[in-house]
Amino acid sequence: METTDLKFIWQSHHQKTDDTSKYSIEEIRSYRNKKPGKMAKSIRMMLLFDIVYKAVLILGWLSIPLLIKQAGITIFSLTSVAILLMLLGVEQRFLNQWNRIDLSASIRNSLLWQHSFMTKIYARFLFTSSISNSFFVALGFIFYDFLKYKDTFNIGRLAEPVLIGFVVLTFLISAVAQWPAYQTTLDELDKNISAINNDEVFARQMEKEKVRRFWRIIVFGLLFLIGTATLILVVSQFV
Amino acid sequence: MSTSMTDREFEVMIFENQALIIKICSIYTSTDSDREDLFQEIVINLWNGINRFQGKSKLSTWIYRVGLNTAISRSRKVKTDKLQYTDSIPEQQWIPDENHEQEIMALYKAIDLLNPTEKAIVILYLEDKSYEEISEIVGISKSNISVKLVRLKRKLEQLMRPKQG
Repeated sequence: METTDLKFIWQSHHQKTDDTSKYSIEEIRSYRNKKPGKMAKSIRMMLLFDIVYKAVLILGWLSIPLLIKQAGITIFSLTSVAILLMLLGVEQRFLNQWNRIDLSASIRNSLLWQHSFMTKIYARFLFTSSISNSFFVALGFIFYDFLKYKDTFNIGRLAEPVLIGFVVLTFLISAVAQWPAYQTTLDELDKNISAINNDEVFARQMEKEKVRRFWRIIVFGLLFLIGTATLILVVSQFV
Repeated sequence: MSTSMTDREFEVMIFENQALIIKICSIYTSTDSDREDLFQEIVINLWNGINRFQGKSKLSTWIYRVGLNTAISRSRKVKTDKLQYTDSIPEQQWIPDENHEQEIMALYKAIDLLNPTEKAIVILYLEDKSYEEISEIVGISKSNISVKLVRLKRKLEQLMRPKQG
């Protein structure tokens, strides 16, 4: 098959299929107003979900001092709220950063931007989002203890190795569970970027070679003209 | 054309350029529902990014950029959902037909085996865009585009060639 056939096959096929009025203005309007269906898996949704999750956790932790009137648990709860608020602020900044994505940039720049976001910001999000689950487990333990022991609730039980072990394990499981998906996204981005960049060196060499060839022709042309002129001059001396 | 585009103007602009978006959707997806989802996502991203379009480049260049960037980002997400993946095109007898149905099927299958960025370059080539425009959309030099196209055309031809039994 000749290379020129590719365009011909493509264009003759698309001339036959009427793609110019498949969607009506009304359908386009409904699409414009809809939320994208598959966005549930997107980075933006992951960030938004964890921000909401942290906000719910903050409410949970704030309810503890209202239920358990003990100075120790109040300090512990308010410290947890402060940490969660700080992390929530950090994630809000991550989200603002992601919202700055410019899809009207060139494909290469868009991929480089996404790669930079994944390595510099999303890697940190893996850490901040995994912490949410640890706070959830700790909160669950406190509620469980409170419902079980009520007035005899003892904050000292929070320092039990089993609870600390669970909290640490939850963080690790959450981080490890997210890692493969993160790595796959990063690998895909790497592949796409290298697919775009891989011929750049060769292309630059070709460009240089073209310029060199151009100057070679100019120099040879000039030499030919000078040589011919000299020859004519020398010959004319003898004629 | 700039930030002052009204809702109605935007809808008309999409209506008039839908063939371009449909072609992008056709090479990055394999089912009708995926095609519709991608079309919708591109429309939303174009609408969200309308303020960034200053009219410095051609309208089609801007649509291609947003459309292809959306499709490439989305193809990363969808890839893992795929149930089936084939490394090669099924064997078939090459019989030239007037309607080019076999050829277009083989071309689509061959394009499907390319990586998302290669697909972007191929669709722009097939749509008869100039090297300058392809370079502007992809973000690499014209000479790099020409090198890539030589390789991609060769690759597509090899993929489209029926296997000898």
